[in-house]
Amino acid sequence: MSIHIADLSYIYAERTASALRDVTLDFRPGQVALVVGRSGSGKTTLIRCINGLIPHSYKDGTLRGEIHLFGECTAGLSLAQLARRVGTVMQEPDKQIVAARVMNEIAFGLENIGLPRAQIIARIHEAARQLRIEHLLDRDTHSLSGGEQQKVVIAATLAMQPRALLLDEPLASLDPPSARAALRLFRRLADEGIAVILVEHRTAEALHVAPEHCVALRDGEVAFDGDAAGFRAWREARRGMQDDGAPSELRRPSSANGAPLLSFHDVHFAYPGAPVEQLGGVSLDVREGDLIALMGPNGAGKSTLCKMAIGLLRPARGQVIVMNEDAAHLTVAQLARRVGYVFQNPAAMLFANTLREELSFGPRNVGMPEARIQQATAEALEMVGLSHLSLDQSPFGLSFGQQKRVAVAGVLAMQPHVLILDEPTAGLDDDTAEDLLRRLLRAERGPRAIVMVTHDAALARRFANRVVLMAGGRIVADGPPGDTLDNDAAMRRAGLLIDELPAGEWDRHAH
Amino acid sequence: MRIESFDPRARVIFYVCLTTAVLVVNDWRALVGLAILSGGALIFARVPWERMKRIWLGAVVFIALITALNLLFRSPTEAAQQALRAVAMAAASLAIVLTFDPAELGITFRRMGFPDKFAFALDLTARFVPTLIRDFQITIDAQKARGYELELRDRSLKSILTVGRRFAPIIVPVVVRAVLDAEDRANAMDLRAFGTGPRTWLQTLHLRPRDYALIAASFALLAGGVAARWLLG
Repeated sequence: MSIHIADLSYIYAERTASALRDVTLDFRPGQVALVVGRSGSGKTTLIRCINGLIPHSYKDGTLRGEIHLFGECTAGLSLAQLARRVGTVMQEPDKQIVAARVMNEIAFGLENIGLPRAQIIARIHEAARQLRIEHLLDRDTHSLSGGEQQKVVIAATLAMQPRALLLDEPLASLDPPSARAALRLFRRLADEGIAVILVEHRTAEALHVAPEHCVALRDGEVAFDGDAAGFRAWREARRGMQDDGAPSELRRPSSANGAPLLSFHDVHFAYPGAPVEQLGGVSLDVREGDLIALMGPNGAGKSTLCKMAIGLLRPARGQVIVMNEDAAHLTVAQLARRVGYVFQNPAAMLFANTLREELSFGPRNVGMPEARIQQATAEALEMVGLSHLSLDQSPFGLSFGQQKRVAVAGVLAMQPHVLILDEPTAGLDDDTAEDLLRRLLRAERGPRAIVMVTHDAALARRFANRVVLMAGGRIVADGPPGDTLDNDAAMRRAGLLIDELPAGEWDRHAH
Repeated sequence: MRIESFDPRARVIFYVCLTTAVLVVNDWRALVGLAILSGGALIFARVPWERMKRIWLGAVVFIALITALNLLFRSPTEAAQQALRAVAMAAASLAIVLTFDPAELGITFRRMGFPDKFAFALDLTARFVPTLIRDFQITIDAQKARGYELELRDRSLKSILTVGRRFAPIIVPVVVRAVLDAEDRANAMDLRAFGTGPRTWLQTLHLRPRDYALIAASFALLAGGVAARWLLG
């Protein structure tokens, strides 16, 4: 008995292209299946077909083919019946959590299927034990960390006692230590007999789960279907063909001479009411030519430090110097001319009816002359590789990846000297993220230095000329990627060292 | 004994009866009595002053404004009445709202006879208020980083009238995000069988003698208010 998908095709309402085309796959209980593919390759549509959102919630599309869940055809099952067979964990746990308390969250599905109260309570405790989150049961859901929220969502899903678990990019919002813990958990659940289907952008990291089965989707079709060893070989061959220009050539040398563009001197900061300092004496210089990868676990102080550079937060003690001026004497708007800050989620800033209005918003705010704005926006669009788009187009009609580039262009149009990118790869597939960085490095009139907050060590190794590791509000290492990323002691202190799964588990599943 | 030790249904009924009485009554003595009762409820609620300081500040400004307008356009008696009403409403609202556990909102209304979907919608609202506040803060920061300044530099009438337009960079991303997220949230609820049949509620509520006493007193208060209006004008 397995999840058997036969000749599945789907076209969304009001679209002409198929999101899935003739997909035939088999997923087995007790195994982890890793499903990879670029944005728009059909991964999410596949998940929606298995869990029944297609056709139950997306009624107007065209569906062909069949899915058999452990012997039953899904066409004959209601959403309530499907919910007891297949559990789904969506990309952002925060969006999936509907209750104010953890206990109520785990109970939600069980309440909806009308289970008796005593049984609900027993299942809550069983799921909490399985996920080791008994201590969280009375907590407010909005006070949980990303990793904790995800565990709660998985516990709520497992409480329904499904035979299959669908995970849609579960690593997206997790830092490396939490991602590692999550992968261990997925492995354990599969070992306990559940069919785990893991859809993930972060392929290299996801392979640590030792999947028995790997699937690659491309333009809605199955491009690869086989075991992990075969998948690695297939992926290597494909990467080898696509790699245009060695990334290391694009790395620029940092200029050791001259005044730094941005510097932090013994910066301290604590959030009001917090028992410990978020930054405990950070000193850092950002110089011409730098591409710094700022790395560390969630809560290490990376974003707090970056917000100091643009005046969104002010140090309690210490100094931030931006282009030879003390940031304490400058407003956020004045600082924005020198330091550009791109937030992680483009949805936080896009608001205008047209790209022209969106891109000229920043330059206009900082008082750039109208004649220069036009040129600056055109250059910014060119830098992010979107110069083919019409300026009269709405930013809301673009794909997530394009919106992310527009958000970067909106900040680049202000022509900042230093560009800070918060998680530039979040929500993007590896190729798209790398393409964006390549373009920024190649641009002649681009920023003079870039600081990127990232969890992606491979990206840091390819593009950064400096890696700064932070942990507990302090810098624990600062140097070339080779020195820092291979410094096991510093990486362990920053919680970034990716240990393999325990040897026994790895041996059992890797081959 | 704390105000939270009463069943939430009894508290909601008390609140509705008290505020209705405040709205119905015109006699100044009755209004003074209701204001004292509301103040007593607030003291009994033991809400820390720090938590309600800013709300009171806003309320005092509002009350001063309506009192001034009443003094200008109506009579001093009406001004005093409206001021007393506003003070009583503010005190009662703070006493009940600030002591209400958001996780109890849904079950309270379900057990008062409202349908499952309506009751759960209240729970969802309580769940997403902190998320909405966080989204606002992120958007404000993101736009500030693009040189946007929230403060009105030009305080002319024209500028104040175009204030809506000025807030578009803050309002639009938050609203668009809320609308787009709603699809994911609806999907997440569908996937957990929401609305497919009658649901069980994990929480339980029990009315005790003191709750019945509070409910009876609340209705008596409402009846007294209506009688006062009828008898005293």
